[in-house]
Amino acid sequence: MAKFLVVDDSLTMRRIVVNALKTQGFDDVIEACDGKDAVAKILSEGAQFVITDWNMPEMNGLELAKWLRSSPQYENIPVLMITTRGNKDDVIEAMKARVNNYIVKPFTPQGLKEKIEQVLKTVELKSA
Amino acid sequence: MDNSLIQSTQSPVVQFPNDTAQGAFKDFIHLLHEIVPLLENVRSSIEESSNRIPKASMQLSKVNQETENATVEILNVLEAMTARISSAEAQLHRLKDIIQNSKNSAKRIAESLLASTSEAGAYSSTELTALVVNEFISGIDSSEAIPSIEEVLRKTKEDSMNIAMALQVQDIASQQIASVAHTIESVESQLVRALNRFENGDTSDIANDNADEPAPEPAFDVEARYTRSEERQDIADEIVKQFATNK
Repeated sequence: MAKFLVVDDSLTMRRIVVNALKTQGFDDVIEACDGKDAVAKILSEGAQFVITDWNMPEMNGLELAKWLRSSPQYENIPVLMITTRGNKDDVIEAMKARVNNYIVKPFTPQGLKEKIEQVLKTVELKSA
Repeated sequence: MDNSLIQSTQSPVVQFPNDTAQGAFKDFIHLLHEIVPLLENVRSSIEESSNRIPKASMQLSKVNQETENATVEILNVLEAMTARISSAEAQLHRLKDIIQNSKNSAKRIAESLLASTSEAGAYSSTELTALVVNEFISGIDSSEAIPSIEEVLRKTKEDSMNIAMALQVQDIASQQIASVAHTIESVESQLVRALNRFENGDTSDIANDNADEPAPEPAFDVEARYTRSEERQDIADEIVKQFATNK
């Protein structure tokens, strides 16, 4: 079972995402309050799946995705962005930064599950 | 208008070519007399506003903090509630197993009792016991109580999850509040600059007013909104699909 890292500066959102993950059987979850904290957690605790917000202080979600993709060790970690930013240009920018999938807040547990499954399926296909 | 301003007692300060010019000058002095207090009013209004703004900004930040605290409290209650529902579901499941086991045992007893009766005609006490046991079993069979309790628990759990999901509104509202606070702070810095110009005559920063410096990206989304419409998600899905196809 993959270890999830949930990155959001809102404590409320972290709790909601973590609960939604646990309801769906993803029990191994750690949290970070921004991109910088996420990098520290990845380096110290490791993670196999990153779910991140976009707008955050210190280091935002897009910068985090770019950091991951530029790191040979972590470039293949799946990244799912969950954000309020729903404009077409935002989604394109995120996809160019090579995030694996994109959810516009507010999300539903079912929507989250679907996107995680889609990402995992793509990653499995790639590694097969 | 006091003529002493334009006509000194010792010698005329200004010589006017004609009455029209002198009238215009008088009007100008009159205007200055009116403008100076107005400017003083503007200066004190700016000072008052710039003093109030940090307080407004702090209040908004406090609102955000308090709503987040309240939301976390609600989430705590919901999580405890969900845990209790899960525990009740587990107990109910166990109860179902106990009933099923009892039913199976009772059925076996009834069958063995009936098999042991040989006489036809009047019911023997053994046959009556078997009938009572059968009646008990069919009573359990017809009971819809357990499935209905299970359904209530399932729906309650689903409702508590929906309440938790609706609390995403706190994050979205806090981004909107942060955006307003940011705007207020920008106005504050403009007012402080204006005040400096009034008080010190320092206009050196005017040139930088419209400087084309890229502002750092804020930690909030100005356009954050809470909507159940799937339109934006559909657009995102379409773009994600296109990127996946083009890979």
